[in-house]
Amino acid sequence: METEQAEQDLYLIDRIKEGDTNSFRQLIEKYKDVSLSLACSVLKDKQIAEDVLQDSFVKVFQKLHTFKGNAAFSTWLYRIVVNTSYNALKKENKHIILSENSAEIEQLDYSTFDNIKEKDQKKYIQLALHNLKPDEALVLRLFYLCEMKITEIQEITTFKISKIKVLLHRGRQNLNVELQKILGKEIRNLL
Amino acid sequence: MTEDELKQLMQKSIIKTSDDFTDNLMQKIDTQAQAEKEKVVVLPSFNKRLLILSIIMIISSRIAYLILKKSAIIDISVSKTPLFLGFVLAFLFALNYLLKMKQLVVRE
Repeated sequence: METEQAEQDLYLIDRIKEGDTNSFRQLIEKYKDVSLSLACSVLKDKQIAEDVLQDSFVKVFQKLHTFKGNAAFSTWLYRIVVNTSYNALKKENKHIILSENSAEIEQLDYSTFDNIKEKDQKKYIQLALHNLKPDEALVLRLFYLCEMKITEIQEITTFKISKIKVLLHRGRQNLNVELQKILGKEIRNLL
Repeated sequence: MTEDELKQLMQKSIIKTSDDFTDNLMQKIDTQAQAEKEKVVVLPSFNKRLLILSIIMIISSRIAYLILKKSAIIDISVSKTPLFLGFVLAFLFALNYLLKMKQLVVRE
């Protein structure tokens, strides 16, 4: 499956190099949501993350001729996204805190939770991740959402393997704590 | 929370881009590509560049020859042949560069 995807990516990349911009559109469609999730892990603001992601994809387009195919395209792309996000974060020189999400959660009626609906589940997990530290949220998403191996996460983030393991461990714990804070006993319905 | 449960939860943490994200991005890329194409480097014609190069080479070789011949500070005797060969090589190298540039312009 992974090989098939990698081959498909390489095919698209070859076509882009030949001047077919429509193939680049296909690549964007394929990776944009996961990439945005990674950028949001770092930047904590969807609008800023989208802007950063636009810049990242432009960089990818400009540097695509340097992509040799030694690593998976996704690893290469996520590395650019993560680097650009951290650079943007440094420029902002602060962790952007979204007040909108916090306001949204306060309006929820906990008494109606017999079954937490799919849409709500997404909201809670996104909010819990939003409250985590950027490094923890990023590593958790890379490991569980992108299903990356620790060595691949190291390649993307340039963190040491020991640090990644610690971040994963703390991230799991803190995510649980955040979900408990948000949902209390209803956390069982989330799972 | 088990690993599988966590994995299932994390799959739901995906954040969707806005509807016009791809269109805006493609427009941005097209605009940049267009701007790159319009960046025309104004260079003199190949023949003019070749003439300028030849003049520079002749003058600089003459100056170097005179300096090495008459200088009281640099007391080394350099025979004409290696000096001449050196300048010919430099000239060929510069000529090769000019030809490459010409090929690039033709391709574009």
